[in-house]
Amino acid sequence: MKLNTIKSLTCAALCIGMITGASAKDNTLSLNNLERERSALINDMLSADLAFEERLAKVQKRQRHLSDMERMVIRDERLMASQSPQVKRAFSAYELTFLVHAGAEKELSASAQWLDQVNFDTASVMSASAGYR
Amino acid sequence: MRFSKMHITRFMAMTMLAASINTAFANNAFTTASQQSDHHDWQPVSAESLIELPANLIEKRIQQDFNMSPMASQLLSLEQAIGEQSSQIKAVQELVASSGDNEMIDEKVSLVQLKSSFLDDMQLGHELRQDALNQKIDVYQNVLEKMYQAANRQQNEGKFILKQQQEAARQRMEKVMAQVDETISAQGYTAQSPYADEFAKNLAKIEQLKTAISSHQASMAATVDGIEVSTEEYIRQLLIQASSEQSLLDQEGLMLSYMSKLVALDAQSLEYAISDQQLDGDVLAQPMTTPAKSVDLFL
Repeated sequence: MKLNTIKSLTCAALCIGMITGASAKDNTLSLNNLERERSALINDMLSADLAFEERLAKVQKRQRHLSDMERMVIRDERLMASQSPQVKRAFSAYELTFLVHAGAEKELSASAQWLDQVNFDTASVMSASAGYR
Repeated sequence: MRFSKMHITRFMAMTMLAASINTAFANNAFTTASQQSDHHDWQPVSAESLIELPANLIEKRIQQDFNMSPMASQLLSLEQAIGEQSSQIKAVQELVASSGDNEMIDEKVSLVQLKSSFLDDMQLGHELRQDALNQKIDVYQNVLEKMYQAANRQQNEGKFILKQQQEAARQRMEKVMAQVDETISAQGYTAQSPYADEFAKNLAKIEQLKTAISSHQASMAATVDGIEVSTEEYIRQLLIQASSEQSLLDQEGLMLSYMSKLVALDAQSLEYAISDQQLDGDVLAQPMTTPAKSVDLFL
């Protein structure tokens, strides 16, 4: 009788553990948020409508958000349960996914890190000419 | 002392019994893991359920399973019977210790019978222990095999690769976290973000919980000679231990075979003693009629 009660308690405790780990429906939420923020950063960076000061402020704010989001993604165990190619791609391309932290390794800002990854540097910008293709 | 034919028949039967014990032991004294006995009263727990357990509990779980089996009860009752027989043998041995070769034959017969019965039980116990050990070894080998299979399967899975990538990403991130925080702070964001703030607070609590878990008795890591070892290493050690037990059981089997040989020799010598005595008795009972004794008839 006592043994059965203890067994039930153990099962209940283990079930609580499992529920805690699997309550979220969308396993890739953190990564999707990061992708959206990164996209917004690139958008702000390339936006022709923003003045320099305004762009700098926006980019710095985005970088702050990104640093938190990157940490959330790297620590997110739910992503490990996902079979999505998006997750696999995100972790196999660390330099492009985690712009803030990968950039810090080379003392680059997130935006500079992105430009570096897509082989888009000052020289290539300066040598570019405006015109119709 | 006179002996009937029944006595001799009994002795002959005993001699044959002792000789058969002797032969049986000689045959299986060195029989190893492949030995199949008729005692299959223990169905050990499956390897599948064991690999989920912490290493130090695997051995206990198998032993617990065995202790609840009919085989263990049989071994226990055998052990009691062997203990009782052992005391009886000692008592009779003390009784006949100072007797001559042809004295206290009935007691000596009882002694040989007791020894024979004692050896029967010892042999049964030995077979049961051998059988239990073989089953234990099978379980350990299955557990180890399944662990290897699981490890290989896991290494080939995408999930395993992803997990490794996550770990590598975590290490890279942790190296530059302070640097990133400094940069952000230099940009005017002096206060930590709500996420970073809450995360730091929770992290301290999580560390406390992790310490409590790792020091909890139920999740203590397996140790060999006081050193923490992996589950696989622990199972390998259990197999080595089982192998040494098997070797000792073989040696015990050899000892039992020598004991039975001695019982057979005791029975044989008793048989000779009885037959000799009976032959002497018969000669004395029926003296031969000699010509000298018959001379009177002719005078």
